[in-house]
Amino acid sequence: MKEKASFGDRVRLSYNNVEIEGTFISHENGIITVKLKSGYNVALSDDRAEYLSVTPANRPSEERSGEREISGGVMLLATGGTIASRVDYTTGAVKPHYDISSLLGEAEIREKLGTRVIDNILSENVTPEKWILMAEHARKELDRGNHVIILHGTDTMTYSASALSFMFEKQSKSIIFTGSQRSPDRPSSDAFENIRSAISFSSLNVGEVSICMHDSRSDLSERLIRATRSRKMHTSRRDAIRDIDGGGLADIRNGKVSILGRFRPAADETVLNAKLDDRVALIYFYPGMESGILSRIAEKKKALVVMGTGLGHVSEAIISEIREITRDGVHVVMTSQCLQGNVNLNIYSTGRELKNAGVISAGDILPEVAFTKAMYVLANHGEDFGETMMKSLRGEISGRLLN
Amino acid sequence: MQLDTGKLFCRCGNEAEKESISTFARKLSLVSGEMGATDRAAYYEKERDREFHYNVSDNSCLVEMDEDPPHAINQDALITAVRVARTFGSSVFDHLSVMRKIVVDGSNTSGFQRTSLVATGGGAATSSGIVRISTICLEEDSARRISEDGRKAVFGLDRLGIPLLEIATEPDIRDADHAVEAARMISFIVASAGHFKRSAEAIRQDVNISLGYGRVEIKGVSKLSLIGDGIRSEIGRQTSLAQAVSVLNSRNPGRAYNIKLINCSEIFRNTKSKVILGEASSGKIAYCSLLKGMDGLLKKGEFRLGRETADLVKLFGVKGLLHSDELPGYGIENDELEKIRALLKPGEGDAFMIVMTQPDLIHVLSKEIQNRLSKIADLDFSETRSVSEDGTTHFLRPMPGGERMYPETDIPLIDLVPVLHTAKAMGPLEDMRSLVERLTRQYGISSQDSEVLVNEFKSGPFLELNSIIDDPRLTARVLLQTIPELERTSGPIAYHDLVSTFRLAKEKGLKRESVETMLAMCSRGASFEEVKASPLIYPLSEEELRQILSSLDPGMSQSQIIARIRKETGRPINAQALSRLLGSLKDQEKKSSGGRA
Repeated sequence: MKEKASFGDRVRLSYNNVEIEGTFISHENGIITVKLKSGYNVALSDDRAEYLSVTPANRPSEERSGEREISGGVMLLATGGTIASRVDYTTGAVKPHYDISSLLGEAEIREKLGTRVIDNILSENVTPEKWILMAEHARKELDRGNHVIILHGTDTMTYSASALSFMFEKQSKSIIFTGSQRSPDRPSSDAFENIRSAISFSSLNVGEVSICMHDSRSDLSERLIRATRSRKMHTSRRDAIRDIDGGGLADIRNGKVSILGRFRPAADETVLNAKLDDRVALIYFYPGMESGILSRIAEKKKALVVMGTGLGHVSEAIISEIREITRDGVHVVMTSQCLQGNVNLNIYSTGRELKNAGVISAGDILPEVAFTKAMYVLANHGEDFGETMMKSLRGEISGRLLN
Repeated sequence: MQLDTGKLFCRCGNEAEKESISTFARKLSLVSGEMGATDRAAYYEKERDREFHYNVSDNSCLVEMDEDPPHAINQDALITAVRVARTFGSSVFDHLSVMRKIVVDGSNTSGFQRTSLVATGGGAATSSGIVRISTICLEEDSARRISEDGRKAVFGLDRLGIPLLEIATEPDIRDADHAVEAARMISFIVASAGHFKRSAEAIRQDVNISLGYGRVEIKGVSKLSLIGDGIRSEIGRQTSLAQAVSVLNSRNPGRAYNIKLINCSEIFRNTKSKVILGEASSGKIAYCSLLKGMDGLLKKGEFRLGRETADLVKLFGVKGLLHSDELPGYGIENDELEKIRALLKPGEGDAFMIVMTQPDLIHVLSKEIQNRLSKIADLDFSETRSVSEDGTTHFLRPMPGGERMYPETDIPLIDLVPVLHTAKAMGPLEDMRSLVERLTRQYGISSQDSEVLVNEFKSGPFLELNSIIDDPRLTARVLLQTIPELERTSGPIAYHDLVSTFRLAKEKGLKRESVETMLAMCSRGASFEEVKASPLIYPLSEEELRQILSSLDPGMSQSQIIARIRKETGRPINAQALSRLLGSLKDQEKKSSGGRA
C-alpha cells in the first residue's frame, strides 16, 4: 500500500472521533506517529485512524556533509559509534550518521581542523580488517603533518586502539581515540567535551596511541589513557573507560592540562606494520567448562588467549586439553579474569602444570590487549611468539605494580 | 502536581533524607530537534553559557545523574494519570510516546525533560461553568534550583524525576478568583487518586495570561493565593507597558532599536560610585548604550521599561544596570554623565543605560537587549515569567515552541490499553464531598476536621499515618494543629520524620505528649536518630514519679503537680500512672490519719 503521507507533511486525521492535526512522522508496525503543534508525538493505531487531509510540506534542511581535508592541523576520522550517532526519527532508534561537523562549535571549525568519515558502524561490528583500515587512514594523516583523532564507539575502543598501538611501531604525531557515552543529539552529551579535550591533548605530541574520555561524572575533566592499559568498566557512565594499573598519561581540568605519567614522545618518522593475523580467539574459562570446546576452537586458530581464574588457572580437564593444543603448534596465552595484578604460574601446582603444558604467561597484560597483541605478534614476529608476547612493546606490561 | 509513587523512570523514592552525598558539574550543549531546527528558548539559554553543579541526594541514582538510561515507566504513576483522565472525561490515547522536551537551563541533567501526552479533552465543573481540559501529560519533575550566581547554578537532584501530572486547561477561566477555584478543583481530583503528599512544591501552577499582546506564561506558582496576585500584577504590568510602547512608537516611528554597547570604563576611572566599583572589583567593565526615544519611559510614573531590560541582563549575571531615568544617582556624578552624553550624543527624548559586564558577553547582550526591546515595541509581550512571593512577575526566558520536543529514543512506545483496563477496574475517583463524609463516618473525627483535611490535601497523609497508629483523633490533631503550629514557630518537618515518629509511637506505646515532643525536636532540626535517643520523649516511670512526688508539698493540687513536674523534667507524664500514684498516696494518708483518730 502506498503511504498516504511522508515525513514532514501536514496531516489531519480522525481518531476515535477526535480530530488530530500535526506533522506526519512515520507509519510503521500498524502505528501512525504524528507530531502535534505542541511538539508532542502521538502514536495512533492505523485501524482506527482516518486521514482527513494531507498537505505536502517543505522538507527539513539537508544535512551538511561537513568533510574537510587539511594538513598541519588536527584531523578527525569518524568510524561510527555513539559519538557519530543521531536519532532516526522515522524509527526512533539511535543510528550512525555522517555529519560530524555538527559535533563542533563554529569556533572549532575555524581552527585547523579537518574531518573525514572513514566508516559508519557501531563498534561491536568492528573487525581486525577495520583496524588496518583505520591505521592506514591515520598514517596518511600523520604523513600530512596532522594529529589524528579517531571517533569510535566505546564498547570496543580498547580493542581498536590497542591494535593500532601495536601496529604503529613509531608515530610522528599523536593518535587519540575518543567517543561518547551519551549521543550528541542530547544537550548533555559528553561528545563535545571529549572532542575538545582530545584536541587539547594533541598538542602534547604523545607518540603512542591513546584514549581521551571523561575522568569522572563531571564535565570539564577528561583523561588521556594509554590504549594498551585501558578498559571499559561500566556500561553507561561517562567515565566508563579507565586505566588499569598505570596508563594515565595526562588529564585536563577546567581547561588546564597536567601530565600524569611518562609516555613515548612523537618520533621524527612513522613506521606502520599494518599486518594482523586474525586467527586468534579470546576465551573466558568457567567452572565446569567441558573439555573439547577449546580444541574445537583451536582447530582454525594460531593462538588462544585464555582468561583464567585468579593467578591464571583453569581446571585439570582443560590443562590436559591445552597440552594437546600446544603440541599441535597453537599458542596458548594466559591472562586473568581479575584484570588487576599479574598472572603467575609458579605459585600453585595448577600453574606449574600449565607452564609445563606450554602456556605463555601474559603477566599483567589486560585480556583484550593480549588478544590484539597476539594478532600483531603472529603477523609480524611469529617466529618469536612466546618471547615477544612476554616483552612490553607499547607499555602493555606495567612491570612494577603499585596497586 | 507531584505524584507520590516514587520516581517516574527509576526506582528511587520521592523523598530524600540526605540532600547532598556527593556533587558533580556539567555543561549543556544546544542540539537540533527532529525537524532539523533549534528552539528559540533553548538557543537563548545556551547563549548564557553556564556551568551547572549538582548535589546528589540519597534518593537519586545514576538515572538522575544522566549516567544510566531511563528504566521502565512507573506503573502506579501511569495508572494514576489514566484514572485522573477518566474522571475528567478526557480521551486517553492507546499508546504513550515519551518525548524529550529540551531544557538547557540546567534544571535537567540530561538537558531535556521527559514528558508524554496521556489524554486530551474533557473538563472540570466549577461554579462558573465547565473549564475544558486541553491536555493531560505525565512528566518528570526538574531538579531543584538551590542557588545561582552569574554563570554558575547549583541544583539538587532530590526532586528530579518525581512524576508530575500536568493538566492544561483551555482559556475558559474568567478571572483571578475563578483561576484559584479551578486550580483547587483539579488539584483535588489528582490528590484523591491517592499517591499525593502535600509539600511546599507538590502543586505548581503555570498560569497563562493573554490580554491581546501574546501569551505570557507564569511558571511554577506554588501557592494558590499567588495565582490571583500574579494575574493582577501581570495585568498591571502589561497595561502600563502597552502605554509606554505607544509613547515610544510615536517618538520613534521607525522602531529601530540599535543597541551598541560601548566601553566607557575610562569615564569611570576615578568614580566614587559603589555600584560600579563593586562590579569592577570582580573584573567587570562599564559599557553604555543609547536607548532611542526611551527618556521617561524607563522608570517614571507607571512606566518601567528599565526593569524589562534589567530582568533580562540579570539572567546573564549582570547585576549593575543603570539608566538615565534614575541618574544622577548611585554615586555617579554629573561630570561623568556629561562625558557619557558626549560619547552617545542622545537627542530629544532619548535615554541611555550603563551596564557592568565581562567583555566576552557584549555581543550576546546587545543582541538580546535589542531583540527584547524590538519585540516589546511590536506589542508582542509573549514570554515565560516567574512570580515572586509579593506577586510581582519577572522575565524568565522566551516562550519555547514545538521545536524543543523530540522522541525519547531510550523508551519504546508504551501500550496504554492494559493500563486503561486496570484504571476501569479501580472505578471512579472519590469526589471532595464523599471523601469528607467518609472520613467523618469511618474515623469518627469531626466533620469540620474532615473538611479541612480534604481541602488542604492532607487526607492522603491522614490515611497513611492513621494506618500506623490507629488513632484518628491524634492523627488529625497532629496534621491540623501540631505541625502547622511548629512550622510557623520553629521549622519544617520532613514527611519521613513524621512517619518515623508515628512508627516509634506505635512500637513503644507512646502517647500524644511524646509525639508532640518528638515533632518539636524534628522541627528544631534534630535528626530522627537524635530524637529517638533522647530521654525527653519517654514518659516518666512510676518509680521516677514516686520519687518526685515524695519531694513535693503534699498540699499541691494535681494540676499544680503536673505543671511542676513538667517544668523540672521536661518529660511527658503518664497521666493514668500519676492519678494512680496520687490515689494510693491519698489512701495511705487516710489510713495513717484514721489510725490516729
